[in-house]
Amino acid sequence: MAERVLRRLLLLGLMVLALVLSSLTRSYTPTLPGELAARIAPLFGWSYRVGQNLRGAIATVFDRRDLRAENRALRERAGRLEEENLRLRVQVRQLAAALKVQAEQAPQVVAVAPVVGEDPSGLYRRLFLGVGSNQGLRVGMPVTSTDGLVGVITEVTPGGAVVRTILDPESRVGVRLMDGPGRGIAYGQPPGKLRVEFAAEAKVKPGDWVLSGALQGLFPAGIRVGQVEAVIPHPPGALRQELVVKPAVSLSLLEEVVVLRSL
Amino acid sequence: MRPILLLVLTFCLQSLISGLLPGWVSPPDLPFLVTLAVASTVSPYAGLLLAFAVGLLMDLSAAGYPGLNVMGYLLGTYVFYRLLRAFHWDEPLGQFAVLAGSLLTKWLGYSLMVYWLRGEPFGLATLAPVFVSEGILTLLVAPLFLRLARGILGNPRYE
Repeated sequence: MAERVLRRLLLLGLMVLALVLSSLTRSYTPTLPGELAARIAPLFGWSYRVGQNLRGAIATVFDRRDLRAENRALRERAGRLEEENLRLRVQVRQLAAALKVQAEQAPQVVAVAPVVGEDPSGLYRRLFLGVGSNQGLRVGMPVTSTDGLVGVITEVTPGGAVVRTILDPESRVGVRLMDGPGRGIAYGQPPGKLRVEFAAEAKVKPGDWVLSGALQGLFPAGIRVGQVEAVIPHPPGALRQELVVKPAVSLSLLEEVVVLRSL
Repeated sequence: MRPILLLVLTFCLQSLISGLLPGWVSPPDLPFLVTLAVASTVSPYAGLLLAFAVGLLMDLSAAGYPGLNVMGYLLGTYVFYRLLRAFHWDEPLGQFAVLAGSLLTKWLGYSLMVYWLRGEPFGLATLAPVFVSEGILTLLVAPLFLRLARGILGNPRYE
């Protein structure tokens, strides 16, 4: 019992001492705590700085991880933009070529002619047009479409015309490469390909575009003829290389063609 | 000698954790834990005097008016001795109950002292973030820290 009272008295005494200490300090020496703290702080300040540095190190690790993720995302984005840029460059080149072709062809348009039929034998690849000499069509006039070169008119009647397409085995079209130097001749290779001969030095790869080159003066330059599908390996020392080209125009789907004035 | 070593180590650890934690988190009250750890090995008279001394050291090191931590530590330690009679200090749940009660009383002591100095109680908005963060972290680190303290001090002698 006495011990409990003693304990409570001790607590009470210490509490009163605390109250008095705080009151006295506040009233008479308000700067004392700050001065004492300034002297004590260096004793434990180093461990506080160690803690801060540790936190900084941990934050750096996390930041670095974030930076890696951000870097990865930016790389992916840059890759996508590069792809898009490449596609746009190709598109610009194609549009520029198209504009050039349009600039060359537009003043020479004689007629827009409907396709009324095609050679049923399959041996020749020829088209029949629903307009003829009455509409100004003449033999030797080039025939094109918005997709590319179609062929040349070989026969004309007052109300119709026959077009020898570039796929016809008798067709010969002077061609050149869109993206590089080199001239060649495209031969029709029924039913649906062209065989093109280029100089062996020409650098060609599948996917390259082949344009008309006005070698024989039949077709305006720069009209799309087709796209290289395969480069046939040639023996060492060969003067020419052969390509298999898919025509730019799908002849069986043609409904209209543009007939141009003869060069 | 060992209690002094433990006290110095605790103050270093407290500073380290304060620097380690972000500013919006209140660190665990390790000096209070060490006060209780030492108090569990000595009589209540020595324990209360120790609480007074550690509280005063805390106030001085924090540039506060001597008394705030003193009052909190005194009341917390006193309740600690009272709760030791009701709960077993070596059992995890008992230890948790004793610590929770002591922490609450410590904050009651803070409130008393603030009321004494300012003439008005703590605002809840001021109290809640610090109390919750400090309370949770203190209770979380307590088992580990008390084991460390026991390793340095030896088994409790006061029953």
